[in-house]
Amino acid sequence: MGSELTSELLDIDGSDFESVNQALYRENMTDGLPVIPPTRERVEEMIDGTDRDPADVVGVVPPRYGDATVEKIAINAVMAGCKPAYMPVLLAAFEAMTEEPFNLYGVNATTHPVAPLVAVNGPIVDDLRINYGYNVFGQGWRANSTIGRAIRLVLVNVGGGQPGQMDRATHGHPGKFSFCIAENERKSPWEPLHVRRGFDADESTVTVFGAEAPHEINDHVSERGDGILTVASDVLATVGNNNAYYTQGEVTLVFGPEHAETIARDGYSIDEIQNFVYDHARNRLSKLKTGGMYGIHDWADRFDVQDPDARIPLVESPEKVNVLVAGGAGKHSMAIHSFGETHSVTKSIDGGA
Amino acid sequence: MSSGTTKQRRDEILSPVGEVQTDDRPIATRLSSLEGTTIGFLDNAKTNADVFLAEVSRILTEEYAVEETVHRSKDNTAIPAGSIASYLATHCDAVVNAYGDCGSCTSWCVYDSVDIEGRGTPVATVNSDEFVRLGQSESRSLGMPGLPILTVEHPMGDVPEDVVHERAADAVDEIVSILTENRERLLEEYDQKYLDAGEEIGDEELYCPL
Repeated sequence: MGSELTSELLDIDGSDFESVNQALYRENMTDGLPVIPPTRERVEEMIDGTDRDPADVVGVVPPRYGDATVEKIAINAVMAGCKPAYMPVLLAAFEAMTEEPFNLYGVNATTHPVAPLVAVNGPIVDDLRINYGYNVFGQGWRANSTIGRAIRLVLVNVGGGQPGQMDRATHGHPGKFSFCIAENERKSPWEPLHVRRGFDADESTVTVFGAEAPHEINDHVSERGDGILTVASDVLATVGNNNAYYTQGEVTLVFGPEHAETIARDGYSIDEIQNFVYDHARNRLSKLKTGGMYGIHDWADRFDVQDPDARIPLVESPEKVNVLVAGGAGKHSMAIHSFGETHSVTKSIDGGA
Repeated sequence: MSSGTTKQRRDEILSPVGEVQTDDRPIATRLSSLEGTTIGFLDNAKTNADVFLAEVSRILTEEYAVEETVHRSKDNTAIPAGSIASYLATHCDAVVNAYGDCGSCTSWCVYDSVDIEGRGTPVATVNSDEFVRLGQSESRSLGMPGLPILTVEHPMGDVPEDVVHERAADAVDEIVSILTENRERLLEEYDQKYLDAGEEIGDEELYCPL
C-alpha cells in the first residue's frame, strides 16, 4: 500500500508535532491553525476510507490548476483532522467543485468574499454524524469542522489559494476556515434537496454553492408563510451584493425548522417559495443605477424597461432560488448570496470503502 | 518511493501540495508592424476598460496606421470570452485585452489572452499593477508562462476619463512592442518580469507576512 503513494517528502528537521507544524506554517500550507502532521502512516489510513486509487485525479483545482488526486486530498484531510470515513464526501465535493458551472477559477481567485459551501444529504449524514441542527454553520461537530477544513486546505495547497497570492479575497469570510452543513431532512416539510435534484432519497450527495457568509433572517412575529417569505426576500434584496448585478447567480435560503413549518403549514410548495422569492426579492431599477456594479454587469439592462420603479429580480429564474432546511429550534433562517457567476452542483457520494 | 519505514527512522511527512501537469505552449508569432492591420479590442466590462481601449484604438489608428479596429465586450468579467475570443482571433491580426484589476476578472482576462494566443493571434494583455502578479502566476498555470502582460496603475475603475486617457497614451508604446517585438525578446523581458519563480506575491501594505 505504502509503495502506491507518490507524494514527495517534506524536508523537515524533526518529525515531532511542533517542528512539522512550524515548517508547514512557514511554507504557507495551513490555514493558520495547528494541523495533524501528514505522516505516511496516517495518509495510508486516510486513503483506506475510499476504494479509489491514490493516483486518481478527482479534479484539477484552479487558479493554480494542480491535480487533486485521491492521495493529495487524503494528505490534506489528515492535516484537517478528518476520519477516513469522510473521504468519500471530500472526493464528491471536489468532483462537484471542479465542474465548469461552479466556476472555481473565479471563486478561488476573486476579490469577492466567497467560499464553497458544502451541503450533505442522504443517509451518510447520520452515518458520519454531520450536524444539521443547532449551530449548523458553527463549531462543535468533527465531521462538519474537518470536512470543511480539508476542502479549504486542498483549495490552498492544490489550487494555489494562498491569501494575497492567488486567492485575492479582499476580506474573505469566516466560512473559509470551514463551511460544511447537512440538511435537516427529518425536520423538513418538503422533499430534501437531493431528491428535488433527481437523486434517490437513499442516495447520499454533496451540493456545493459558491457562497457568501450567511445572513440572518429574523422573523419572530409572522404567523403566516408569506410573512416569513416577505422578510426573507427583503433580506436578500440589497444592491451591495453580486446577485443584484450578475446574471448567472443563485441565492440560497436555509430555513430553520420552525420557519419551514410555518411556511409549509400555509401550503407553500418549494416551487411556490421559489416563485415568491423570485417575485419579491427585487431591487428598483433607479436604486440599482446608483452604485454597486451598475455599468459593469448589464443584468438590469437586459430587461426592456425604462420605468425607474421597475423591480429587477436577483436571479434569472425562480429555480435559481435554492431552498434547504437546517438548524435547531428558534425563529431564524439564513439568506446566502452567491459569487454571482457560479452554479451550485450536486454529486452522488460514492459508497466509499 | 518505496515505503519500508521503520520505527527507528523519523516519520516521513508527505507534501500536501498538488502537482501541476500542464504542457507549456509558446506565445503566438508577433506582427512585423501594425501598419495596415486589423486590431481587435477585447473589453472585459470592467469600469473604464472601454474608455482605455477606445483611446488606445484612436492612437493606434492615427499614429501607427492601423487600418481597421474591431471592438467587442464581454457581458461579464468573471466568465471566459468564449465565442468573442475565437471571433477576434479569427478576424484580427492582433488583440488588445483590458483589463485585470481584481481576482476573478484577472483570472478570466488572462485565460482569454492565453486562449487567443493559443489560436495564433498575438495579444497585449493589460493588468493593473496590483493584480499583475496574480495574472503572471495564472498564465504560468495555464501553460503560457511567457505571456507578455503590461500594467496600468491600480485602481483604474474610479478615476476620471482624462486620467484613463493619459494612462492609455502612456501604455501605447508597450502595447506596440508586445504585438511586434520578436518572441524571444519578449520572453526575455516578460517571463520573470513580475514574479521570480517561487517569489511570494504580495504588497507588504496589503499583506501581513507569515
